[in-house]
Amino acid sequence: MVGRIYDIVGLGFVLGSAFIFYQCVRFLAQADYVAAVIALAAAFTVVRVGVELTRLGIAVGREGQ
Amino acid sequence: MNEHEPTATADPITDSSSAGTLSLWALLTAFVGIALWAQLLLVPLLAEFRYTDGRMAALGFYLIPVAILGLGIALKRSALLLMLFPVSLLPALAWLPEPDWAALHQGTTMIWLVSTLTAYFVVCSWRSPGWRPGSGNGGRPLDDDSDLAGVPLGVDYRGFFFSRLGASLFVLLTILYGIYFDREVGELFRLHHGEAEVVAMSFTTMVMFFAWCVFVYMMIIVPGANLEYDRRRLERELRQWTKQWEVRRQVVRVSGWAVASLVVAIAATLWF
Repeated sequence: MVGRIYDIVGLGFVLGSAFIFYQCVRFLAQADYVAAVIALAAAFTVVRVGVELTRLGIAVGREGQ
Repeated sequence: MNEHEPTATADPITDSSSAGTLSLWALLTAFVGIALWAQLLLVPLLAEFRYTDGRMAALGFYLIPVAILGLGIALKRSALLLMLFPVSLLPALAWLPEPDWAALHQGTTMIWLVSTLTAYFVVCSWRSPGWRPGSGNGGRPLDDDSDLAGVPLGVDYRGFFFSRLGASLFVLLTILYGIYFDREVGELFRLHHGEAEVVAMSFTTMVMFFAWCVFVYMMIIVPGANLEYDRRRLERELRQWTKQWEVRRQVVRVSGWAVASLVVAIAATLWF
């Protein structure tokens, strides 16, 4: 159960990164390239956290079996 | 005898066939890579040569990807071909004159470009050119899970993989919506780029598509494909660490009691 929750939260992080990618597009549209690079790094970090949460969820789920 | 001793011997037939596959791979990679480069940069390069006051920096940027492609094929390095070659195209694109940018956006050019890029990645990743089974790690298996053999997988990995794939497609659609359909972003493009609006949109599309490819490969496909391997490795490391820690804890416990008894003995001697 806890593993499933981690999994869902991890998926939420990946989906949530779409907002930061959208912001990145906005910054590129404003020709603010530094901000776009920072937003891109933030998006990658958020996705990475989501993936790590999922891996944690899998480990916890396996532990509970 | 060590059970992990390498037992595989060189098979000339297999070796020769793999060499044949490699040369075919090299030819295909060179062909598709050059096609991709030519679609993007050949016309601007010829234009630079045509004028006497050609920009030297632009010439350098246009030709560097070809050099990287050649080096990657000669050295058979995936990192050069899959990572550095596509990245080296970006500075060259930034130097493209506006008419060339506009030409990229006309008709079905973009579709051809994306198809060629996809074909290039497929051909490049067709096989890992510098690796042979048993050639690394002294012939030992990289993940010795003999003690975990037969343990069933605890998770529905297909569910994991496809849900992440769906999420990454959602991210791609959000990016494309932002660039081409969002009114506010369209207004920003018009405001900050004026007549070069279409050029800026094409540039943004290419940069974001490249970022999305990196995101999917590094954050979804690679971790997703290695989940079970990573989990087992973590388990093995934890087990190893616990064993070491057990000995250390024993040493600390015994030392602690020894010091405590010494202190008590000294205190008792001094007291009495």
